[in-house]
Amino acid sequence: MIAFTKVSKSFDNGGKNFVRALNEISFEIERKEILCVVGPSGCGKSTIINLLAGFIVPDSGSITVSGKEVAGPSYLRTVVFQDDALFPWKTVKDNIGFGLRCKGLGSNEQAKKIRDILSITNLGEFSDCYPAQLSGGMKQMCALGRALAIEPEIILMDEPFASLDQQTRDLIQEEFLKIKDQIAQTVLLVTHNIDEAIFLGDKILVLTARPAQIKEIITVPFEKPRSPDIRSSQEFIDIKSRIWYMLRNDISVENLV
Amino acid sequence: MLNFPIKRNFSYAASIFGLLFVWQAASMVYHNYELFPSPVSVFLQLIQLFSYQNYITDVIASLKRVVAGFFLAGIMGVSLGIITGINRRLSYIVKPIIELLRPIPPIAWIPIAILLFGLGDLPAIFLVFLGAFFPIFSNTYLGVTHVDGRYIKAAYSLGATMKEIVLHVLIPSSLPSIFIGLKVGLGVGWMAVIAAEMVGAQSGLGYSIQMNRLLLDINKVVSGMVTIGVIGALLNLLLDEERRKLIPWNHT
Ligand SMILES: Nc1ncnc2c1ncn2[C@@H]1O[C@H](COP(=O)(O)OP(=O)(O)OP(=O)(O)O)[C@@H](O)[C@H]1O
Ligand SMILES: [Mg+2]
Repeated sequence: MIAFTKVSKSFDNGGKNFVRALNEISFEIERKEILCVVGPSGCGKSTIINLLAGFIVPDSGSITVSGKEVAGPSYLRTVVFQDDALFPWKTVKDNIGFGLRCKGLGSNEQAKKIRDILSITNLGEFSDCYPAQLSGGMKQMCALGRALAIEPEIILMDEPFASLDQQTRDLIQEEFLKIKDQIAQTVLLVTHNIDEAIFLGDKILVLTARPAQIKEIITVPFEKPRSPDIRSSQEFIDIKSRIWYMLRNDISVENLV
Repeated sequence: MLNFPIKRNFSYAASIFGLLFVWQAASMVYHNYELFPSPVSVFLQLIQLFSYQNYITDVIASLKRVVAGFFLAGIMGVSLGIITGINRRLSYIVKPIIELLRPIPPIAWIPIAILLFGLGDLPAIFLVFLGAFFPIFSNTYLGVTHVDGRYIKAAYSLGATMKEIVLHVLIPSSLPSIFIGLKVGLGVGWMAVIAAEMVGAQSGLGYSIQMNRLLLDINKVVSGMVTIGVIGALLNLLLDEERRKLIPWNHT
């Protein structure tokens, strides 16, 4: 289980424009759960990811994973970035194998794990391609596969599908849920797309504008596995307008700049 | 070895032919073949020169010096560039020294090179090294210090240690920049060896040009220049080919 307890974070920017990003945020993520975070632009969503990844440290409060305080980056809390961040100089299979190599797995075990991941991400045919030869959707799948391969406790996804077109995005969300059924990982997914948060999330954390505080934590009522049809159900639309209403109160022109 | 698309090959040939044509026309207008030889006479001269053992020895002497100096500069420039790029504190010490030495052209080192190493291979190799080292070092340093931070973050969060980051992130992502350094370095090194040989050697293409200048044999001087140009261009092509092999992700 992951717990944020009264976490605050501000950025100094050399004293010129002091920014308070997070203000005493507390929440928990249960094991195997997908928690989606939505909030106005610039409110501090990526900051939450960077804190949990261990890239930055909070000013106050504590972040724990299974009771242990987060200290620096670790493969146990791996990140999938918005624009994939695949290594352009490695093929699909070497990208997926990178974390395994870092973990010190033998080459047979590595090869076996890579095969498994290629099959669940449907990238088998492309194992020897470089990222530049893949479509946007395949790149994201590969980035997800690279993260899954090392079997982290939690996968942190910062707007992972934001650069994809709507159709690819819908398809990859469905694919992602299928994969999620086969794995044991907990997922923290930041998105600015409310549909995505409802379709994927077990819970949705709605943040206020900066300094971000928690507006509400919504439990999404749909059973898993979920069918794409729920997107057009009345319940889905109701949740969507509820979240949209909450966010709209917070979005103003000053907060965007 | 060099499999260019036909179309590009064709336009390369056309461009070289155009240059030869302009040269031929200019020499006909100038009409003093002693001072301004035509490409045809230079071509004939080259055939004759390459049938002399002496000339081939000169070409090989220059090539040997350039290869030796370039390898030294490559090994030192790339490794020092990587180490300085990774270690900020070291860069505060190394960078000012490099920035002070870099503007000094290799030719200005010739007197000291001759005093230090006498005449022969060593001063020329030293000059090639000086000419090639700085561009190789600077481009390597630039490559390493400008790696996209996302790749480093991604590697850390996949469990990489510093060693894995250097080997699998910093070095491969700097390779395109390192190759630019190598190409510039090889070009400067090739120029430096000729300059060094004109003053401080008793063999090599530079020496041969200098001798023929004293003998007022302009046809041979220009033949030497053409040899230098062609070999320089071939060395450059060779590096391009290596680049294609070593950086496959950049062209696919
Ligand atoms: N490294 C940093 N240095 C200085 N300021 C930062 C840094 N990271 C974030 N900030 C500031 O903190 C605030 C929150 O940033 P963050 O990236 O977390 O927002 P976000 O919710 O992810 O925004 P978006 O929806 O645009 O991605 C912003 O005002 C940003 O300018
Ligand atoms: Mg963000």
